[in-house]
Formats: sequence, C-alpha cells, structure tokens
Amino acid sequence: MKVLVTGASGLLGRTVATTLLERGTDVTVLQRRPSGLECREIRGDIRDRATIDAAVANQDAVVHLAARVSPTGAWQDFVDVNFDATRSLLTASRAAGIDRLVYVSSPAVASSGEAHVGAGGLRADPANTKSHYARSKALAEQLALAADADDFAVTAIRPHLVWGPGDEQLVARIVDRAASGALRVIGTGAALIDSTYVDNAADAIVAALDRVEFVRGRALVVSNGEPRPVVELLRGLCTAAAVPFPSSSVPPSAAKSMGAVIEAVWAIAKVDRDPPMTRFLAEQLSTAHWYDQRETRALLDWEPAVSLDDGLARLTTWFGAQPIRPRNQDF
Amino acid sequence: MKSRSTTASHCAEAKLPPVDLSQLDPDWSRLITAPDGTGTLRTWHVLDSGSDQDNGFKGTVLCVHGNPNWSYMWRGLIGALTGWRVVAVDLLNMGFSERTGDQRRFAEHVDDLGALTEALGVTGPVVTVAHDWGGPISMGWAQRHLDQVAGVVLMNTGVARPEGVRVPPLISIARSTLRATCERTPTFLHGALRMARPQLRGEIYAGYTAPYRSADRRSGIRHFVEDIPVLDSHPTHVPLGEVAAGMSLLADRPALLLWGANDIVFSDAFLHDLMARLPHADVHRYPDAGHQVMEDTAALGERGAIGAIHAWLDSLDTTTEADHVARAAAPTDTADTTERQPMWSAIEARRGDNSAAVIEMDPDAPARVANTISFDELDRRVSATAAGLVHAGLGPGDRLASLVPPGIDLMVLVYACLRVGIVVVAPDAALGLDGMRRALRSSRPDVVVGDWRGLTLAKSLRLPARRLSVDPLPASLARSLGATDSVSALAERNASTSTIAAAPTGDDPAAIVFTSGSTGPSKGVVYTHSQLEAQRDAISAAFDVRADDRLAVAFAPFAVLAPAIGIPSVIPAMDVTKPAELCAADLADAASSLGATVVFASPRVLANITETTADATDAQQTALRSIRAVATAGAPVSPELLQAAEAVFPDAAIYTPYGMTELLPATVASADEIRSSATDRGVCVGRPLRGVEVEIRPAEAPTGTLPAALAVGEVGEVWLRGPHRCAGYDGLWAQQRHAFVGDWHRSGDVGHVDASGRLWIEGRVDHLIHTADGAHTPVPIELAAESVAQVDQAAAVGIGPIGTQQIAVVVTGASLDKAVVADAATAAAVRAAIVPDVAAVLVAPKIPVDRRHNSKIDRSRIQTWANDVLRGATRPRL
Repeated sequence: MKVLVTGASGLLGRTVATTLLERGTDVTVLQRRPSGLECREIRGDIRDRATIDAAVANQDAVVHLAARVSPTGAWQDFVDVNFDATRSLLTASRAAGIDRLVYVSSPAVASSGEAHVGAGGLRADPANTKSHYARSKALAEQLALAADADDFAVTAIRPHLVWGPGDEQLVARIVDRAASGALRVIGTGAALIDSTYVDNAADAIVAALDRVEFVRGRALVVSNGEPRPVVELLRGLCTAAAVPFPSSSVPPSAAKSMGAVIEAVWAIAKVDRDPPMTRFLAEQLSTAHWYDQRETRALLDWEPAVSLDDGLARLTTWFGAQPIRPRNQDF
Repeated sequence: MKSRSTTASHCAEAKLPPVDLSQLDPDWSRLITAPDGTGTLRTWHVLDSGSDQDNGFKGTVLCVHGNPNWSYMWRGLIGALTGWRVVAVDLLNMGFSERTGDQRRFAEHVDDLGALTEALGVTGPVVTVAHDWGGPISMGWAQRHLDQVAGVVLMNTGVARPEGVRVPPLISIARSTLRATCERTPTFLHGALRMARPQLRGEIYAGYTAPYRSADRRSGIRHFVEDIPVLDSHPTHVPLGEVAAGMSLLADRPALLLWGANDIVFSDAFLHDLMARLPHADVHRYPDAGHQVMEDTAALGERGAIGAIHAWLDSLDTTTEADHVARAAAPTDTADTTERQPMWSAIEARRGDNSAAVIEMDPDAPARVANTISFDELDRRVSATAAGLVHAGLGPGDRLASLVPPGIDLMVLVYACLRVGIVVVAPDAALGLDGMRRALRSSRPDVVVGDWRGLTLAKSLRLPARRLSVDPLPASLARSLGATDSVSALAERNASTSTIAAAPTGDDPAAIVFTSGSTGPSKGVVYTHSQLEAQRDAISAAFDVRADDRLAVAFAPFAVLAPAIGIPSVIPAMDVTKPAELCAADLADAASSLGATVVFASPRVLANITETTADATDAQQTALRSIRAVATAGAPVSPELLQAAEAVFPDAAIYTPYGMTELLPATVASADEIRSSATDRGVCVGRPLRGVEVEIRPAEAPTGTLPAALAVGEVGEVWLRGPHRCAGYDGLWAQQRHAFVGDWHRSGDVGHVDASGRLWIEGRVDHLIHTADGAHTPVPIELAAESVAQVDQAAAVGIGPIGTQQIAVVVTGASLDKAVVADAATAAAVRAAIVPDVAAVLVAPKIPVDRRHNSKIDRSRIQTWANDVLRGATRPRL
C-alpha cells in the first residue's frame, strides 16, 4: 500500500509517517518544511492544487493531517488551510483513484464550551464551536465524511490533546510558560482532562487505515483513556522538563475574560505569535474533557501501547537529552 | 328529570389529535361512534393499542383520565404493556372527543363509558386504570361489569370526601369563578399541569394542552369542576355516594393504589379512605410525587407508576415466572413446635419482682439517676396502659406513632401496644426532623403519642391522627396541641381493668420502623410479632446475652429491648439526636448505677467513648473495665477503633453485627475477624447467625427474579433470609417487589463469601464503579487508600457515564493540603496502593456520613461533589 501523509512536519504527522515506514509501507509526505524523514517527500503548500495533484498521484491511501492549528488568527486563513485544502485533497484523491482517506480531526469540533464527561458519539457542531480552528476543522470533517463512498472510504480520527517528545504545540507552550513564570492553573485545577501520547495517536491512525471498512463514514475520538486533573497533567509535563510548577491559580471566569481581552489586543496589533491565553484554551483546561473509548478501541482493534506514566518517562528522557533548555518567551 | 346546565356550550365533532404530539403514536388514535347512555350518537377519541395476539391476549386495560387531562397521560403505559389491549378513552367533552354542547355529569360519564366499551367490543377480562375524576367513573363502570373486572388501579383520586377534609382552595376558587378560570381562560388547566414535579418539559406540556387551546374546547373542564358535589343537594352527590358504597363489591378483585403524596387536592386522607374501602389493595405511595403521578414518577423506571402497573399486571397472571420463583423460594413448611414467647412474656414472668428493670440517667446531671422502675411496676404499668389504650378506643391493627424519647415511658407504651396488638410506628429521632415528618406522613398513624415537642410536630403536619400526650399537660397547652388525653391518665383510670382482648398472633403486624435513609429514601419496614420475637432471640444469641446480664444501652433502636429479654437496663444521659456525644464518664456513671455487664453502642458512640476515656475518673474507668461484652451495631468497626475499644474495655468481648433494618442482626464478627480485614477484599462482617442464610447473587438482577447463587469468592449482591426478616415495606409495593423475593431479602450491598464462610462487604450495588474494564467495588479501594499514612478517611466513587466511568478517590487527612486536587506525593501514594487506574485523588474538607449511625459514608453525596469538581466547577460544595 502506498500512503500519502500530509502535514508530516508536525509531531503527529511525523510519527504517523515513521510508524508506517517502520512496517515497510511506501510513504510519501507532503509539507512546507523539510521533514527529515527518509522517504519520498513533496514540499509545498497544501493550498496549492498543483502540489496536491502531484502528491496524490500513484497513491493508494491518504492520511490528512496538514492544518492550521494556531489558537488565534484570521478566519480566512483557517478556511484556506483547513477547509478549502481538504476539499481539494478529497477531490484530487478520488480523481487519482485513491480508495481510502483518514482525516485527522479533533474532539474540539464537537465542543460548544460544555464539559465533555465520558462523552461518546459526539457530532461535529461547527455552529457552536468556540475557535476558528475548531469551526474550520468541524466543517472540513463534515465535508470529508460526506465524501465517503463505495469506492472511497473516509474516516475521521480525533486524537485529543496529543503530546510527546519534540511537541511544539502543547508541551512546548506549557513548559515555556512555566519556565518564564507565566503559567497559571485555572480554577481548582481539578477538571479531568484526557490526553494522547503521540505514539498511541499514530497507532490509532494506522489502525484506521487498516480497518477503514469498520469505521468508514464515522468520526472516532482517540485518547489514552487516562484522564487526570489538569493540574496533574501540567505538573507532569513540567516535571518532565525540569521546570518549576506554579502554585497560584486564576479563576476560570477571569481566565476567560482575560483571554477575550488579549485576543482582541492581538488581533489589533497583528502580532505574529500566539497569545498566552485564549478563551478556547481557558475552556479546554478549566472544564472536563474526556471520552468514552470503548467503541473506538473495539472498532479499531487498538489499545494505547504507551501509558501516561510511560509517556512522561519518555518525555523526561527526551528533555534530559536536549542540548539546550527550551527557549524562554517573554510573556 | 335530569339536571342540565341551561347555558349552551359549543358543539364540535370529535377529531384526531395532531400527528406531531411528543411521544404519542398516531397509530393508536381512533374515532368511534356509538349511542351514548341516552341513545344519542356520539363520537369518542380513544387510544387503542389493539389486541396483542402475538403475545397471548391477556385482556383489556381500560384507562380513564381525570380533569383537566386526556388520554395523552397514558401514552407511556400503552407503549410499555405487551399482551394487553390498552384502551384509553377521552371522556365526552374532553380531549379530542366530541363536544356535545351540554353538560355531562358524573352519572352520565359512567353511562357513556359503558356504551363506549360495548361499541369497542371490550370483552374478556378488564383491568381499569384511572386517575382523578377517572377514578369514580371507572369504579362506576367496574361495579356494573363485575363479571369482567380482573383488577382495578387507582391513582390520586377519591370516591368520597373523607371526614374532616375540606375542599382545597384551588378547587374553591375555581368553583367560585368557574367560567373565568376553567373555560374562558386556561388558568385551571395550567394550574393543574404546573403541579407536575419536576415541571413538564415543553413538548409534553404542549401535548397536554393540545385539545384545550380555545375557550370553546374547555367547557368539559368547567363542568367537571362544577360537578364536584360540595353540598349534599348537588345532583352528583347521590350517584357518587352509590359508587362509594359499591366499592365493597370489588373487595374480591385485585387492586393497586398508586399515589403521589404531595397532592393538594387528593391528599393522603383520600388514599387512606380508599385503603379502608379496598383493604386488600397493594399500595405504593411516592413521597416525592404529586397529583400528576404518571409524569412525576416517569424518571423512576421500573419503580415508577408505569413500571409498577406493568409488574402488577404481570402478577395477576398466576403463571408468571416471578411467581414460580417466589414459590420456589418460599420456605419449606417446617412445623414450628417451640411455643412462642411473646415480647411481653418476660416482663409478666417477673411480676412481683421489685428489683430495678430500667434506670434512666438524668440528662442535666449525668451521674444522677433520674427514674427507676422495677419489673413488678413495669408489668403493672404495661397492663394498665394497655387497658387504657383499649379504653381510648384503640385495638388490634390500629397504628400508634410514638414520638416519646427513649426511656421508661417509651418502654411502657411499646409493651402495652404489643400486648394489645396496636402497631407501634417508631420514627426515631436520628432520622432528623424532615425524615420524621416523612415517616409520620407515610405511615398514616391513627394516634400519635408524644411529649409536647412530638405533639407540636404532629400538629404541624396536620395528621388526621388523634394526639395523646405522655403525661397530662396543662389544659391550655393540651388544647393548643390538640392533645385529647394523656397515656398516663388513661393508664391510671384503667389500672384495675384486667381484661384485655386476646393477644395478637405471631403473624399480626407489631411494629413499623424506618430505614436510615443513608442508602436511599427512608422506608417504613413492617415487623410481625413473631419476627420481633425472633429478632429479640437473635440479638441475645448473637451477643451471648445471659439471664444475669445487665445492659447499658447507648443505641436508641435497641433501647426498648432489655425487658423483652427479661434483664435490667440503664439508659445513659444522652441527647437522642446527638448520640455520638455520649462521653466515657457518663457511660461509666450509667453502667455503675446498675452494675452493667454489657454495653450496646454504635461505632461512632464507641469512638467518642474511646476518645474521652482519659477525661474520666479512675473510678469511672474501672467501671468500664468491668464490662464483659460490647455490642456495636449500625456500621462496621475498623481495626483501629477495635484496638482503642479493647484498651477501654480490656475484659470485654467486642461483637460487631452486620445487618439492615430489614434483617438485623444477620452476621456477627469477632474481634479476630475484624482484625483480619487486610487479608481479603472489603470489610469482614463475620459469619451468619444460626438460622440466617447468606448468599451472593449477581448484582443488578432483574426485579422479581432469584438468580442462582455465585461461588465462593465471587462478588455480587448480598441476599439474606432468616426468621427475623421483616414482613416487608409499608405502602411501597414496587419497592417491596424489588427487595423481597420469596422469603429472601436482597440487601443492595455487594460483597463475597470466603472459603471459610465469612462474609465480606465491599460496598453498595448503587455505588459500584462501572469502568470500561468492568465493575469495581468501592470498599477495597477505600481501605487501600486509607492504608496510606497521610490519609484518614477515603471514599471511592465513579465519575462519568456508567460503563465508561473513571475512579475518583476522595480523601481527608489532617496533614493534607487544602487544595482540591491532592498533592503529587499523596496522589502517587494512593495510586500505588490501589490496583485499578485512579483518575483523580481529591482532598475533601470532610467525608459526609449518615445521620442515624454517624458512620456510613454518604457516597452519593461525595459522588455528586466529585463529579462537579472534576467537571471543572468553580466552588464545589460538599
């Protein structure tokens, strides 16, 4: 089987490509920056039709991870990358005779600000999502699943809070903020949050490729199935990175209004860096987000191979081996 | 000549309901035209499920709504029943049936219903199910179709206004402003629907109001309100009275009364009136439901009204599996050759004995004896009081609620009642004020006896019961409390009367006691005389109580027991509402006054005694050291408490029984067995007493079934039986059916039996934690957490939906940080001690416990708190 992986410069995309390569799959990766992987590589912009056409040629399957994941930014940027590019990829894939596509999504597509407590069977709800990212991903997920057809199997896998060594998203942001003393725990810090160690998410995505007949037309949340109070999770990440963990906390309401003000300031100033707190992140970390994993595991015939504790141990090892400390940011 | 309203109302044809009403299947609706009682052709709308021939036709369930409802109220029942043809009628001028343009009174509705069932071809057995005005209409129909009636179900209705019950303001106002409130405006309609608790959801509310959208459709509502016969001259007074008188015709038909207790129109008095007319009826009273009982109990599942009717209909069919099971489970008929020893026989046997039977310590001076009574005096006072109660008009089967504090007066009253056969209703103070109120209202006593506090409570509840004070009260106080007499004055006036009717038999009801409510809403538990006697004997045997023992009783439920065993007892100075505050010195003074050899106390009281022993004098400590046995009850004793108690009572055997209000005691654990707790899962409660059988069966077995017992070591629900098991619950038919199968009681506890026959309790069925890997019991997790040095108390609860729950462990500990999420070291230590994955370790300010025993963990409350906390609530309250 020949598999195209888009967005392989990110942590999860790279791990999916590696996992496939390790089992001897013929992998092609598509992204802007060099992936550093030893496989066929197409570098280019996912928004470019010609790049997509070149990438899907002669492939059997696609794992589509490329996305704009920033918590802020202009809506049109999210539409361009997350929605329009997905539509192009779906069209091109069918035209190229590809018979299966795994769309990598997020439980955020079903998040309207309410807690997710052991939630299952969540439907994408673009009208009520709370961020440009989530809304654009929700619309794209609906589009992708609607494209499922007899000769073109499409499934959506939604890993929740992926983290691991080399993570530039969750881990780096938290560790950087803790290192600069800017990390605050929101509320009691007790909200139960599940997360996904990157290898487990990659395994689940590969399992979805293999078992697409069982999961086509559906969206499945994937996680470690080990929810923890958010303060424990953050503390675990900071401990792994050997940075001090804060003791003071911010009430969730204050965090949300703070997030709104900062978002507005960022929008005016057009500062090309993520603000320290956005409403979306405040909600994600101050209300429960964990999921019923029974159906996912049964359908994918998959279990997380790396437990939360094992993952943190690997992260500790990785940080220990880093030549320089993670960069300090000044907010 | 028939009395008819002269004011014309609109005529309108019957029609089908809109097809989009929530939960209503349009296929059930049909219009049927037939001559009414006067021969005029009329058209009715009925819901008709049709004959369910596939499931063996059992008969017809005929549902009759009241005012201002329509057949919509039966939609859930129609969907739930199989094998029955369910016909739910819209009475003429109601629902979607024809608007006839005239007023149809009660008698005509009865005629109309007969005409309709004939037109519908309702043949074969019929069970009527009715609510509100539908009740008397269905009873009128039933009395004319006795050959067909297989059973009757009545809900929040009445056939006669009970004596002393006034027309409620809602109805009075509606009657005085009939057109304005019932017809021109939907005020009465909305008022009745808003009585639903919880409030009806929007789409259901819309379903109920659908046929009554305009004034010209509401004349029937007005006519029903007008038809309430407030005065004897009212045209409906006579026909309704005939139906009330005819209720005796139904005395041989199965009957089920389902009742929402919070109904301002059909109060408990109407329920009691129907119970008096149908004394054989099965009764389930829902304490938290109101007039709209079908809706209010919808969330209760199989114990709600729909589930109860379903199960009750099944029970009519004598070939159901549940009945076979019940018969199979019935005890083999072993002829009891030993002669009964009535509860009062030991007192009678010591007639002429002037030694102390009961000593009461003075609550204001705990070292002082307040009152003493000898066995001879006790016997005489019991006889005189029994005669006095009979003289006051009380007899076998009447219910007497006692609000008398533990002490000599209470003992005299209880044994007098037992002797006469008066059923003692005993809502103990530890239920709390609200719990006592609920207990009193649910148990419908004929008379309430109390001190001024108890009578004040009885008065505030407006119970129809007569009120008697313990001792004579000042005339003005007695008048204001409605006390018509006092028990002691009654006894005095009848001291020389020696003739009391025949003693009650062993099968007659003797007492109603109440579950603590720590494991669900408090329930009334009925004991017969022979069950009480068996309980007395079981307690004596369990704690090895001998004829020469003397009891110090610091556990209220056992406070009246000693005279039945025939031994003396002392009641320490204690506040019955705060038993845990009894200190070592006061217990020692009480024990010394009698030379007590045995102490009864709850684990919480025992803990307080061990903690206050250092404050007692040497003499007091010596008195405690002479105790030869300590019997606890109510909750398990921890090995730590055991060790502390052994230091205070070095020569005492310490017994910890296990049991429940329904069967107590069931097992008893020795000190060694309690110390073995760390060796297996859960808390060891010892071995079954002689005569008691314990079996473990699969948890969450369907109601009415008796699943096969599990093997040694397997975890399941604890089932028990024994001669002192109660007779059942009072007025809780659906609950009764769940908790009692044959002579077995399913306890709701989970646990296992080990290879040497010892029972280990691991929690409650309701508190099982259902994770994706399967069910986990809370107690082994809690014990493991408590093995961590910095943890004092722990509670394990499930978070999230059943089947995918996560485990949260909530702990307390003096040294712990006050943050909600436990510190890293504590969390790690707790997780290391526990086998399954623990999602969160939380620190709580306290672990709430139940009121009565002050020791059972209130896991439901902790679960609610932990769920809030882990959801991300800002200021969770425990």
